Amino acid sequence: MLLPRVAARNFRLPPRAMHAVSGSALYYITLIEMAA
Amino acid sequence: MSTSLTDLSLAEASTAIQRRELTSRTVTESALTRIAEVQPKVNCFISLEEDAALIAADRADDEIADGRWRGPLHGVPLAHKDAFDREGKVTTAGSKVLDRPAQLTATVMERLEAAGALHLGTLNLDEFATGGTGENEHFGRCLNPWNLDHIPGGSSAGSAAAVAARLVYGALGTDCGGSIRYPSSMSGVVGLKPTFGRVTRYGAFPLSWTMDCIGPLARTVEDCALIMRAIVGVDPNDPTVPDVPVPDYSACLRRDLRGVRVGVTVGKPFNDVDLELAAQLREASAVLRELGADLVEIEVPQIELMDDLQMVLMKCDAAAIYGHLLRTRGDEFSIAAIGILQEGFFIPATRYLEAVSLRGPLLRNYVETIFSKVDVLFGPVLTGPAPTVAEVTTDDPTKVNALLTESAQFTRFANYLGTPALSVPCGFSGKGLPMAFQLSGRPFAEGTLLAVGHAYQCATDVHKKTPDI
Repeated sequence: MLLPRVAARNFRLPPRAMHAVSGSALYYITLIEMAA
Repeated sequence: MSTSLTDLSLAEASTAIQRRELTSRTVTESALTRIAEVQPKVNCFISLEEDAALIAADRADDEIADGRWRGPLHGVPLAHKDAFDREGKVTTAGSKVLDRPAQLTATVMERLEAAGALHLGTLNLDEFATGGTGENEHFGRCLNPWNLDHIPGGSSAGSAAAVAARLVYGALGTDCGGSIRYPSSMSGVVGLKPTFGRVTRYGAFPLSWTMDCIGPLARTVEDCALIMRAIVGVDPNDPTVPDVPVPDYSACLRRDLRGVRVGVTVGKPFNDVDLELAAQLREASAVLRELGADLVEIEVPQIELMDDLQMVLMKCDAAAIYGHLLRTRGDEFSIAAIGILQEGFFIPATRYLEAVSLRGPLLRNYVETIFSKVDVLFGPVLTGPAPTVAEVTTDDPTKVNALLTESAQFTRFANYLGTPALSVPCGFSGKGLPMAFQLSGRPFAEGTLLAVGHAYQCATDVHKKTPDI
């Protein structure tokens, strides 16, 4: 089953990601920060 | 004559056209001749635009004769997955539902045209890019040029099959879960899924807003570099393209592999591959070592979780994008496409937000864990060579899904993370089916992947073999 496996497991959501829209913003910032 | 011309790589054809040893018309006519022979067997084209292509070829020849050479794609015949809008033309995305002419032209199409590339037609795909087999209920199944009993992989099935069968010198595909690398591996061509945001998506058919990528499929890594150079760069129409410097990809190919740290993926699920493929991977990694690379065994953390999260994003995005069409014209979708697209309706919003919110932290963890130790990851694209058509033709879609899910476990995590990955052919199975390795890198490290892939191709000749069709 897909859904039960999607739990966050070892990763706790960081407080700033509790704001719904900030998840994608946080990702995008990280993507550019991690650039080669 | 026609066979030898179509056997040239894009770079070789380009050089000959630039030097006026060949005309674009001659190259295009030979491609069209080969298409006429092979298309009835492989079914990789949805539409062909012979007359327009020949007119464009003559224009390219005139410009080059006038000293106005536009660059390496000038006068070179390409064709692309039917997923990119061109004003006034219908972009089907492999469906019968999308039946209206486009109001605009995708930026990648504009850029290829500006670079002088020819457009021979549109290429077949799984409906809405939702599958991985090349099956299309509306336009017919696309087949593997190396063995017509086998699938070419999908969803960029026509792109991979057309390049593999030597019908075009390169093609664009899209990749949301492996749709460039999957068919590239099965069909024996090179396929690059760039970093999320590296290539503008304006005017491209969407499957997932958060993960879709556009990239090249070609016979060689060098050819992919030439196509990439033409399509990358900031686009005012696509705010997801960041202003991260774009390297000269062709210059990247000259990089020496001495001292490059290659992480060979081990542990679950990477060890669970076909024995023939495992042997080919060992041989390919040995070639990289001989070229001076330092090989390090490495495990990828959380790959199963990332695989699941990719599915959540893809299914929810797709259901949101096509929800209206599913509700109003659902009877015109194939059962297979509906099966995938509607799953997103049943995933709670909390799961989606979890998947979105974990993306940044998981990307950071992945990059810091892996790329502090190595420069590039090396591993399989799939668990084995292409299955037969019979194996994926069943009344039980869960069986096909299980087969595809097992095979896509090596590709999806790069979509979830948005990192680049390159599929490079590295040998053939006992039945003559292509197999490939995958190189993955940190964000915007396309140049490194291309350098390693190119060095491998310079030292080997797998990519020079052509299917007997």
